[in-house]
Amino acid sequence: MVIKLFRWQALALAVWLISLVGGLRILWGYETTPGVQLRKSSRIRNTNLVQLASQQPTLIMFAHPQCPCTKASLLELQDLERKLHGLVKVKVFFIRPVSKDRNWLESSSWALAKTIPGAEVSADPQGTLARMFNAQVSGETVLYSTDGELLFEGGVTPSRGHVGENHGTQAIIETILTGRTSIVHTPIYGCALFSEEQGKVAWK
Amino acid sequence: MEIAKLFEEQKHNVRKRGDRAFGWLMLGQWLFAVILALTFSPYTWSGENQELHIHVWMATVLGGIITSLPLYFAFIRPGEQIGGYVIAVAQMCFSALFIHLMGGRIEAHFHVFGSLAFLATYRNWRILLVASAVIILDHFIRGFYFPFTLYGVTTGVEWRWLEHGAWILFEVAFLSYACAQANKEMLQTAVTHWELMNTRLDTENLNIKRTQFFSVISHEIRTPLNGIIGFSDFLKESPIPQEQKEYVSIIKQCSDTLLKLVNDLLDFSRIDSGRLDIDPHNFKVQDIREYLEKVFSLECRKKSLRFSFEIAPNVPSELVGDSHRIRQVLTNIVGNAIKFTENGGIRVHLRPHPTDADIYQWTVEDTGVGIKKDNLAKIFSPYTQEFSSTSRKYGGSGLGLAISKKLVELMGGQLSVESTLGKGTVFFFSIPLKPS
Repeated sequence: MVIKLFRWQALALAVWLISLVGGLRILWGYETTPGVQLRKSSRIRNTNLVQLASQQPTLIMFAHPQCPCTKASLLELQDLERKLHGLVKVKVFFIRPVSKDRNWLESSSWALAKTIPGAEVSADPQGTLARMFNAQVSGETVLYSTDGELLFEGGVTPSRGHVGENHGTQAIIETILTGRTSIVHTPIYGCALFSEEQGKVAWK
Repeated sequence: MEIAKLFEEQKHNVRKRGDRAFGWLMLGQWLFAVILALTFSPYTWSGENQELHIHVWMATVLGGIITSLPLYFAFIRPGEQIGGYVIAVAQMCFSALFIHLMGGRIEAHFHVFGSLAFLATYRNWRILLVASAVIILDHFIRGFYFPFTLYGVTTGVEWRWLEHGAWILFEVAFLSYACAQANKEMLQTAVTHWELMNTRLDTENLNIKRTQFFSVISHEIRTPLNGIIGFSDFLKESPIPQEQKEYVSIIKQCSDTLLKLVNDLLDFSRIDSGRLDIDPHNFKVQDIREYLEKVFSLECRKKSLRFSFEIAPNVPSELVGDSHRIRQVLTNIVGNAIKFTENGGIRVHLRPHPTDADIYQWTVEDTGVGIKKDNLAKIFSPYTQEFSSTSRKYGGSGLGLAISKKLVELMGGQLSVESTLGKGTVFFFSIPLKPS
């Protein structure tokens, strides 16, 4: 079978195909580009702001209440809790800038986090706790042992806004089930917890 | 037309239908993608600052790019061979966009399988193969660079694209089989169509030959028949005994009936083969009245029937139309009316249509035996009379009303009838006539 094309049709087809590939490449790029990740303290102590569980490791996630990509991280967290029920304490902190009201904070992501059994969901006024933990990206997760040792840091989604198996959840499950002590780092996909200006101020 | 050409024509129609259906689907998908992005991920955030999410841009711009070329083929050049292939590529790209917009949820992947099934409406396995190639290529490239975004695991990425591709090909194999079956049926339809066309052509040729035969034969019959009629008239006027004059009258009557039958057969044959033309010209309405009165006055007097021809005052004295054919229709209907009426009379009426000034309504009303309701439709069929006994009792070939109906239709009107058994019948027709 031979398909005959006018020269301009062939040209239009080529331009269309190139535009398609280019557009999809931008989408893939966005999907797979992780956020900025800063080093965490390898050991923390209980403070007024965050109390580690005494019987099991504590899994903390920092989230932006309005970030649409964070829903995937929360769904993965929900799945993790289901798989490790009773073996880990889950805490989710949603940043809340001074200028934003409670409606802004209690978004659909907040409601989703509230559905995770046994999870403590709290506001993080002005992102104080997130700054303390050097968290920069929504969905950033840290796992600490009962004595405050950092076991895991990173994201729990395979790419931005996508659910599905990923290194992060696999590492957390493995760490808790096998008692591994070496730190695992994974890339984090999500919105920035702080604007560029806020970030600069925080790390001065 | 050859079978191959008919088959290709059918395939072209299938492509056209497919292109149009996908055109609307593409528009719907584009709109849906934009609504999806605006609903679930309208903004991306950086602390307190928000800006339009890349999903909204991608749904609008990339969705628009994906839709653009398929829309051209769907609505401007539907049925082109390349159209289906472009649409197949576009549909698979839409699947990728949807999967992304819906956060990679497994449910979103059903769009791929649904799209392949829909693409099967093209009945072309090559189109399905192109769509599969796009998916397999996507899996191969993405699986190589970003395996986690696709498979959720990092092991076995060298062969996982093959596994995913195999499942796609599994569906495509069944769909291709269905396409082949559909094409086989389409070819069979083309063969049947071709046979029917040939039969129709044969029938048309036969009709033409029949008409030619009727023309020749009727001419050959009419010439001696006119001689018989003419000399019967002479003979009747000549000094012969009264008994012989009665014999001559019977010869004349039989010859007239035979001449009418030959003329009817010729007309019907011409109408049937589409060779009878309407010839509009100026005519006087009064002439038609006079003609009918002249032809039927004697018969009406013989049966003591009243005959009236009423013309509404707002009918122009001259009109443009085929007066010869109008006269023929009225002669047939009035002739029948007289034949089936024993008491009372026949009334012909002409008036303009109440809402359209260019249409004139003709009515022929009698107080005859009437027609049974069940037989009303039957009377317009050729060679048919209400009862088989009718022709024995009243004579006639059963062609008159069939010819009249066709003639009225050729003049742009419709012949109808209403009747009450034992009370009478009304025939009416409306035809466009212009004032001269």
